[in-house]
Amino acid sequence: MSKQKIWTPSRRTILQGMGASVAALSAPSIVRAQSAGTVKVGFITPATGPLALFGETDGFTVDQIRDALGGRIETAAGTYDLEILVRDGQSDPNRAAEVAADLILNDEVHMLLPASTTDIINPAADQAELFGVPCLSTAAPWQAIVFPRGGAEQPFQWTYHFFWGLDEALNTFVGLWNSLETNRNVGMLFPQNADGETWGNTDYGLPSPTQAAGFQTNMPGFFQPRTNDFSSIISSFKSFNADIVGGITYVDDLTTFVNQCAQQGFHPKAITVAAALLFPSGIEALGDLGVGMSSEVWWTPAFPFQSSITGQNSRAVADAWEAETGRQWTQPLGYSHAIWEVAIDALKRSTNPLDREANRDALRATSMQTLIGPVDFGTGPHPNVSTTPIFGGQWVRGERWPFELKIVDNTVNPLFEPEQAMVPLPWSV
Amino acid sequence: MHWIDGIVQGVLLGGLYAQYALGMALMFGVMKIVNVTHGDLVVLLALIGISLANVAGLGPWAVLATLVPIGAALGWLLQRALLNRVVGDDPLPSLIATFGLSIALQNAMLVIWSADTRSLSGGGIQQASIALGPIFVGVLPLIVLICATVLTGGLDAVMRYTRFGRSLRAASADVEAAAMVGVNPRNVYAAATAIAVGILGFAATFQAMRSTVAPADGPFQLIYAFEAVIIGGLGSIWGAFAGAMILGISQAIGFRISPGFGILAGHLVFLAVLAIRPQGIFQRKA
Repeated sequence: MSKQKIWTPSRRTILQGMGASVAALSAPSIVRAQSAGTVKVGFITPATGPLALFGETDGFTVDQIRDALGGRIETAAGTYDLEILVRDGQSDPNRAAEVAADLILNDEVHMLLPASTTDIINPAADQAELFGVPCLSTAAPWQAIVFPRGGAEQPFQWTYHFFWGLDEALNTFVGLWNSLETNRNVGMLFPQNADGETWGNTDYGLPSPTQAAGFQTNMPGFFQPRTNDFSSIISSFKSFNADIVGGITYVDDLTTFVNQCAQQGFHPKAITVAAALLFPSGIEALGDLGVGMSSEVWWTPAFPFQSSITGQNSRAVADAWEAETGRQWTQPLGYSHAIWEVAIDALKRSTNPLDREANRDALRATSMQTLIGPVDFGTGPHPNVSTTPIFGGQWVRGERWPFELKIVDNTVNPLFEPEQAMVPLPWSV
Repeated sequence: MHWIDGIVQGVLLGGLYAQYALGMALMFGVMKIVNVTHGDLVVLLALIGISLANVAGLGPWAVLATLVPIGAALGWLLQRALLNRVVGDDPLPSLIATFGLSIALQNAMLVIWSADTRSLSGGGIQQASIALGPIFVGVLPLIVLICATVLTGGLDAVMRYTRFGRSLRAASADVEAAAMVGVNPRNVYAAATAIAVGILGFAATFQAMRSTVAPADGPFQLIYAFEAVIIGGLGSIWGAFAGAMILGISQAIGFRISPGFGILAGHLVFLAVLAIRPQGIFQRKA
């Protein structure tokens, strides 16, 4: 803890620390005879702000985990009390760094879990690396966590991440398109922002594996987000005779684009985009035209694996969410659960759960099966990374909800069979 | 044909912007108020409309018929409760008041409707189009353009030929002189804002049908309304319509040069007008 001296606390962190101490003092003390101490885990999630859709499953899952464990954890070194400290990162990198430092220095957590999205993970992981706290994160393509923080030159000492990578997402798109009978002409749709420029990069973005797989590509250019008129891009795709449209867009732009495709008489066989099609609310905004849209899949209730904490399968986890919230399951739910499986598994194997270094060593040695598939830091593309399965999916009319996401392609990770075959968009047949 | 198609799509886009611009031009012309909540009111009305469609099962035209009176009532209330207190020779108090209201409205909408992106089902009309040779004209954009033209013509006629229009113009020209001859400026102002926000009922319905709305979208709509009004000449009704057309066509031509250039092209035209003819294209020099 000698490093603490070099850190100058701000007024806000002191006030927060005081608030936390008051809360701790006023909490009823539970006497537990056999407990060897209290293991503290700090959990940061974007509960509010523009990334709130990614964080909404986190809070629910923490409650589930608390119920399942009953505030105790059996480890290799004996039984400990488990305290989970949840903080809202407010979708803001500065705020995420602040609560991470607060959790590390004032609450003295033994492990830090910045749950999802690069805006929360990167600043929190930097704090963990600086102060020497084991840190586990997920739900963001691993390249976006490793490369901006200099992980390419030197592996990290304390931060570990499990998720699929951009290259695998791109190959999933190609896998989806290979499963359809088309003229192999792909029109590419990218916005003029950080995501669009990564996905649209001709060296490492979507055009590269697409061309390598024998597709012809047409890229009219990057469009500005919230464009009101896509007719120039559509006319370019039409003259290219594109059977497929692929890329990354957000819900508002995709809705405008798809409506204008219909107006302009452009009826491709597949529209496969990242981001916009992740959440059910996005597909509902498209209305009837949402049927048959395709994208990458992180997790669905069709995953055949079981939770190592609760023993539930994916369907049961999704049902519990739907029963409690009255809302349709979303893809981050599986990862909200899995991050706790990996963290609890590491603490259980730790030789001393009150020692950050012992927890880090246990985390590094992780090799397990979770709700979203295997996690193993020994086999990843980078020493701090474990890659997780990704599939190709297609939205179809649902029974319980207006739309449901079905797995239709497994070329990147043949862990299990797809639920059904990809079909062309209804307007093209 | 490429460029003719561009101009046709640009005119259709201009119709959309004209609906945004009309109310703003009216409010500025009569009261010298720049209403920063303009875009947020579009989003608010659209979200109310989407909720009505979901709860009461209203179709898009029934939503439109409900939103226009709701908008008019909102506008009347806005003017009576807030803007009448800040209107005056100094444009700053009203600017600050509407700016604050804009932030409050966005957050209130976030609490009520959450950050989800929503749209209004048009029952297929938003995908329909008419083929004119090789050019496809969308039915919904065409309806938007016709509505915008009729609204502009109607508003202009009201301003020119009715007693109410005369009192509006009188209050605009010299509010004290108008008050001396029996015009109650507060009533006139409230009616003007009611009309301006009522027109946004059209913009809200069509925006929710053609694309999506989310609570934070307002400022993105505001900017086009603002540019159209400036290009056309502050406060001129047909000027705002023409400004919207110029903006739409410049964007559509820009999109055809490069998809990333369209919106910038619109901004460049706006800046060029500000530099060369700051009073606007259709405004006589004061």
